[in-house]
Amino acid sequence: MSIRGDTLRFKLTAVLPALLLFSIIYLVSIGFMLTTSVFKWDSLYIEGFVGIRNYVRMFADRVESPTFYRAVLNNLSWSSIAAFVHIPLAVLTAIILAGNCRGWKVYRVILFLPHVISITAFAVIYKQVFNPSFGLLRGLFGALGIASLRDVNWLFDPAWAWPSIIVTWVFHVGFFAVIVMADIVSIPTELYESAQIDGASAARRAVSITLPLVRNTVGTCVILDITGGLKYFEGLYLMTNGGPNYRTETLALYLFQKLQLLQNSYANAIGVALLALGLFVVLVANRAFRIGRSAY
Amino acid sequence: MKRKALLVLVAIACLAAVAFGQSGKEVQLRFLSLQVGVHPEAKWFEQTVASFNTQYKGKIRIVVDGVAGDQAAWEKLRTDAAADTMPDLLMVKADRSEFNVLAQSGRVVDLKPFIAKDAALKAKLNDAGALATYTDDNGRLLGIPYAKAYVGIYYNKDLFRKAGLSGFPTTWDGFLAASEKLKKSGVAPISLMTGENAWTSMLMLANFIGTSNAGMKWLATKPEAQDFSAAVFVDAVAKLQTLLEDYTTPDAVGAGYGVAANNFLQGQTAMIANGPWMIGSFSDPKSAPAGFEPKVGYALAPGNGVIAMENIAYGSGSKPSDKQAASFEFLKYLTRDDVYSAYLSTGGAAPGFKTDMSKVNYPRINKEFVPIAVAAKYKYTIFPNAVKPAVVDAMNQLLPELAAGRLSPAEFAGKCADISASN
Repeated sequence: MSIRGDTLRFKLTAVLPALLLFSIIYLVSIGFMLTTSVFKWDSLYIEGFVGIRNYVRMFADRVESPTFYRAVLNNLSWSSIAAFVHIPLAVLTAIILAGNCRGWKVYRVILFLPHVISITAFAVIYKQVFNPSFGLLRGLFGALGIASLRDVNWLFDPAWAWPSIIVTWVFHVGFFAVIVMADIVSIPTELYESAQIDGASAARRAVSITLPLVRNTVGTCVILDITGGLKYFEGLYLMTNGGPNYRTETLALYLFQKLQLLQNSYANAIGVALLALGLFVVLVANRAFRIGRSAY
Repeated sequence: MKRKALLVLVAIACLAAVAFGQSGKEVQLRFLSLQVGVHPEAKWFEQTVASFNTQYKGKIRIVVDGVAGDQAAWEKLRTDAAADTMPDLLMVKADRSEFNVLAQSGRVVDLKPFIAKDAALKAKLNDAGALATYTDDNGRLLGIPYAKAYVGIYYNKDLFRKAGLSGFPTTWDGFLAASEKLKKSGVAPISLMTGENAWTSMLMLANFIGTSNAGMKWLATKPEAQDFSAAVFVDAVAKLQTLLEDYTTPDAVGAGYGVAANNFLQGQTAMIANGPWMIGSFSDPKSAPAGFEPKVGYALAPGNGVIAMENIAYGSGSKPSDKQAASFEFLKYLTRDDVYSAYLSTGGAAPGFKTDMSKVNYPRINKEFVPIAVAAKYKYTIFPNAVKPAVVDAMNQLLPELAAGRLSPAEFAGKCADISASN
C-alpha cells in the first residue's frame, strides 16, 4: 500500500466516528423533518401524505402567510444587523483593544461578561428595564422630562418592539471581539512597522493591513452571528413571544408556536424554510468574505 | 441419571423461587405530577403519597416523577403519550385541548370497568356532569373527577373603602363606575395580562360573555361551530378593551401571570379574576404582605354570574394488569374522606364527587363564596373551552393591539374568526 493510500485510509478512519454521529443526529433529523413536512401530522400520530399543502399554507394562506413573511423579514433584518452593525462593532473593539490601550485587559473582561450570563437571565432583566410601569427607561426618560418616551411600552409598541429586541444583543460585542483580537495579535508586527515608517496613520494601518488579514476570521464570525440569530429563541419567547401582533416574530418562534398547537407537519415545513434561509445566508457570507482563501 | 435428577430439582427450585418472588413483588408506579415544589398543593400531595406508600408497603410503591409548572408537565405527558411511555398515574385536566390529545392517544386506562366492580366508589361518583367531562367520545372514562372550581373576582376591601365603595358592584354599569372611582382614588382598578395565556383577561372575557342567556349559550358552543360575529362576543370584547385601555396597569400589556398576581398582592390593583387556587398566596409571606388575607373579598361577576369549571381528575396510563389494579387502588385512596377533605381544605376547590363536607375546613374566603357561587344565576365555562387552541394562542398577539386601539372589537372578532377557520 502506498503512503498516499495509507494517509487516505487514516483520514477516513479519523473522521468516520464524527461523520457517523453527524449523520445520525443531523442528517436523519433533517430527513425526518423534510419527510414529515409533506404528511399530515396534527396529533400524536403521523397520518396521510398531503404533498405541498403545508408549503402552500405557508406561502399563500390568508392568515398564516403574513406571519411567515413577517418572520422571514425579521430574520433577514437580524442577519443584516449582525453582518453590518454587530460584527463591525466587534472588529472596531478588537482593533482598539489590540492596540494595547491602557486597561485593555479590564475592558476585555467587562466586554465579555454578558456572554457568561444566560440569555434567559438577560431576557428577564430586559423585561424589567423596558417595563412601562416601573422600568429603568421609564425612570430615565421621566427624570429627563421626556414624557413621550417615558410612557412607551417598549416591547409592545409596534414601532419600538423590534428595535428594542435588537438593542438587547447588538452591543454585546465581547465574544466576537475576543475572537478577532486573537487573529489580530498573530499578524506579524513587521508589517505595521514598515507601514509606520512609510508614514501610514493608525487608521490607515487598520484599514489596509489589519482588516484584509483578518478577513477569514471576520467572515467566520459573520456566519456564526447570523446562524446564531436564525436559531435565537429564548429571549424572544420570554420578552415578547413574537408580539405585538407578530411584529417580533421569527421563524424559530413561529415553528415553536405551531408545535405547541400540535401542528407538527406545518412546524416541520417552517423548519425546512428556516434551513433553506440559513443555507442561503451562509452561502452569501462565504462568497462575500471568500472564506478559506489565504489572506496573505 | 442422578445428575439429571439433581438438575431437574434445581430447576424446579429456581422456578419456585421466582414465582414466590413474583407473588411477593412490590408493584412500582410512576406518578407524573406538577403538584411539586412551590405548587400550593405540594405539601398535601407529598403527605398523601407518603402515607399511601406506608400503608401499602411491600405491595405498592409510588415513585413521584415531579415536573414543576403546568406547561412543562403537560409537555412531558404529551411526549410520554406519543412515545408510549405513559406514567402509571397522572392528572387529567378538563382543558379540552389537553383532554382530546390524551383521549386520542388511546393510552389512558378506561376506569369504567374498575368502577363498575366497586360499589362504594360508584356511589361516590354522583356528578354526571363531571363524569361526562372526563369521558371521551368512545365512552371511556379517563379520570376520576377530583376538583371543580368556582371562579369569581377577588377584590381588596380596603382599597374599595378608600375609594368610597361599600361593596362589590352587582351590575356591569356599576362595575365600570366603581372602576372609575378606584382610578380616581389613585389605584389601578383591575389586574389584567396579555402575555402567556392571557389568563386573567380571558376570565374577564368569559364573565362579560357569560352573564346572559345568549352568552351562556355562546360559551357552551363547540369550538368548531363558534360564531365570533355574535353580538354577545363583540360586546364582551368591547368591554375588555375598555378595561385594558383605561382601568388596568400600564404593564398589563405583555404581562404574565406573575406580574398580574403580584400587582394585586402588593395592592397596586384592587381586583383580579382568578380561581380558588390563589387563596393560599394571600397568607403566604413569600407572596403577600402580612395582614393581606383579611382584606380580600371574593365576589360573583356583576350580573350574577360565575365561572364553574371542572378542573382536574386523576387517571392511569398503566398497561400491565397488575399495575392497572395497583393504580386503581391509589385512585380509590385519593377518594378517602380524610385524604379528600385535606385536599379541599388546602386549595378551596369544590368537590368533584360525594364526600363528607363536615371534615372540610375551607379557607374563610371560600366558606363565604361557595354558597353564593352555587346559587349564581349564570354558570359558564372558561373562554378557552369555547374556542380552538389556535385562537387562545393568538390572544397574546391580538390583545396588545386591542389595548392600544389598533384593533376595534369587530376587527378583533374578525381576526379570531379567521384564525379559527385557518387552524
